[in-house]
Amino acid sequence: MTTDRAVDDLRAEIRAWLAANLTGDFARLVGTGGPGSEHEDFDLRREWERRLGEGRWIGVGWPVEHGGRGASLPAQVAFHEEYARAGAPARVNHMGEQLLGPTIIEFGTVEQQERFLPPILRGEELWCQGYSEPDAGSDLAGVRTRAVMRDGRWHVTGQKVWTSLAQFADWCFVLARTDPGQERHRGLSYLLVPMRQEGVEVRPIVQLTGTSEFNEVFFDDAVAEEIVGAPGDGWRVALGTLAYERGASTLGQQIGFRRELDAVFAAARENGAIDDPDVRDRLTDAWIGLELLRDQAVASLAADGDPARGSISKLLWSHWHRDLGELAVDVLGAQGALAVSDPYELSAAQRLFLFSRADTIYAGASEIQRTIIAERLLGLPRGGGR
Amino acid sequence: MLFAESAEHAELRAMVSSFLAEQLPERLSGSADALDRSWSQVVELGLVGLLVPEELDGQGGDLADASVVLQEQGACLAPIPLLATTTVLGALVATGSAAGRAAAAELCRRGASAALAFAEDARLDDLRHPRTVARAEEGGAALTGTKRYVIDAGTADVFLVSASWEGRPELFVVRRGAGVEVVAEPTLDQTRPLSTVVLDGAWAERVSGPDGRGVEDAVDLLYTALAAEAVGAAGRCLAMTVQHLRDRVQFGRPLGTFQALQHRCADLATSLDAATAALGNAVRTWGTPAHRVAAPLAFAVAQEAFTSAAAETIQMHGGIGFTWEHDAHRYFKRAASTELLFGSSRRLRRLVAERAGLFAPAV
Repeated sequence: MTTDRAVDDLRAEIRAWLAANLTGDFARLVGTGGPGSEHEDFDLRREWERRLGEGRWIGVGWPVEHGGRGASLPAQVAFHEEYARAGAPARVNHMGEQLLGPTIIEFGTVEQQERFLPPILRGEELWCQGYSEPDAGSDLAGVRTRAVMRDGRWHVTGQKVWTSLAQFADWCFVLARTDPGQERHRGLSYLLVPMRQEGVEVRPIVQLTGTSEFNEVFFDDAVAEEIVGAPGDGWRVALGTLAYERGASTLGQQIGFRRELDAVFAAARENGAIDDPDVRDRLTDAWIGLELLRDQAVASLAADGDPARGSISKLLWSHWHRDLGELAVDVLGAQGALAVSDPYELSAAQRLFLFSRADTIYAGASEIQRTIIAERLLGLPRGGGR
Repeated sequence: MLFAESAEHAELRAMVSSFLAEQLPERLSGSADALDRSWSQVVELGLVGLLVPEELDGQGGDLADASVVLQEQGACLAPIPLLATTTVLGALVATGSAAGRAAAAELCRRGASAALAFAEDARLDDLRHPRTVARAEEGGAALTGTKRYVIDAGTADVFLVSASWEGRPELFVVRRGAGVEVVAEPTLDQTRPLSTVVLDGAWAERVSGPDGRGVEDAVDLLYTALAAEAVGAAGRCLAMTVQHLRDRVQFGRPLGTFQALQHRCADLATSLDAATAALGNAVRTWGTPAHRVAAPLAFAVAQEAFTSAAAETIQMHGGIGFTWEHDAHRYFKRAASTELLFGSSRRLRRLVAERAGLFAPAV
């Protein structure tokens, strides 16, 4: 892959910065956090986010005029690769940096940009996403959370679900229905709701891993003073968020995948499963699958940013990861049926196995991704009933 | 088109595609004159010597260019010896030997077509352990043995042959003539002519590179070429199927509105996308050590994508997909035949594992 000077320079700079800063107290953060382990050392990772902010490592891809470095896609990839290579901890404000920030840059007012972007860049304000509801998951246009204008402010009532890190967030960007006379994707608005107020209650959801990364968030006449875009424009703004190319971070994601794959190989060597021809074939398939993820991501960087192509990436990596989880416990054999200890401490392989069942569901379930590929990429006619 | 490509490649692709579409009916008529005519045009269009540098009278293109051409050939299952000739020419140049390069130049000047004669029986590993023997003879060698399943041997002026030389598999160029008997075989896939080539003391030129290299490199290039062909063919299958699902109405609506069918098409598009990316990696790494892994990997994955696409094409076309008249069976047979000739994807994946050293004893 050809690289240019700017990419090489950024790579060298972040590598050096990480070597200098992922030390002292922060050293124990190596390898912490991530899906299934969001509770790990959260407070210290919050501090780490502030340290990243001091080094101007938040918003690397944001335009320079909004406080970012304006890094090209290949440069962002280099940043994510080096970050992952150093084993630096999972970030605590993915929602703010990758979703809300770019949304405010694209759709927000100047005042909103000045108010909300700098605290994200300093690692001071954390965000969570208020989209899904119990009755509106894949079918996001079915949201029922309501917001009414009263005394010049929006009052939000309703329930959101699957909200990552809501228990730690300062703010939530909420898709709510502001015009009850309209249906589906019409009459929705994109509101910014402060989390630390009386009308907001967060309840953790326990997942099948026994841990709680996700939450329910109940809004009971909660107050929101900020709306992004016009009332009724929420669907367009929200979809703009969803469309942001996550391609840049997937190449960094693959470094984590490589680590997980290496661990499965190591486990198979350790307990002799690697001598089983069937296990070898599956290990080979996992290895080849990761090569394909890389080839596909590399090719995507060169192609245009058609969101429908992101659906292919998502299908490929989520199914690969889920298959790896199955292989990881299969390698353990019967030992894989025993937990590490009570009250439900699981091994890394078991956590990977269980948590990867969510990979094909969140960020657009596989069924939805296939429909997007079929309709938008292949041009098949829209399905019946829609 | 799933990936954006350069304007030059898009132009090349369009030119090849329309040329092949015009040529096909003539070619299928099978008359010797028609075959000669279409090959002359292929040569004239500069589609043959892409892997041969200009100083050797070639087109001075690269594997990325050849990949585009071969994808289009695969897309219409064009029965012209382009894959075979391109691979032979590329392999000859890649040996780096004076004899190899001279042979490539001669073939380009003559506008000759070529065939790769490596396989001997139904086993895959004889590609690396030929039983055909080369005996040293005045300035060259005499080859004796039988090569089977040789693609496009019937029209070939020249054969690239693997033979055992001083106990090693090495590369030789054999010209059609004395000591060479070509017997056409009936085939399952009638878009791909296969022959048995019997060599009886046929005079040959040794074209191996340093340390006798060449056979494995030629096979890896062949894998890459076959991957390109499979990607093109799979893409055409998917396009045909999508069009059919848009046109065909049952239960008062186009078949393409049924989610189950939409999703199966999406899965085909996904595996094709990954295969295209793997092909890109194989093309980029040709000439480097990484190609030894990238080539069989690309071929395995492309072949899988093609096999599923071809099978689904029959299935999703319903009854007409089962007729002789419809093209679906031709793609299905090409996919099956390629797998039978060159090894199942499971064997190729094991080759990838071996070459990548996945199960080498831990150091």
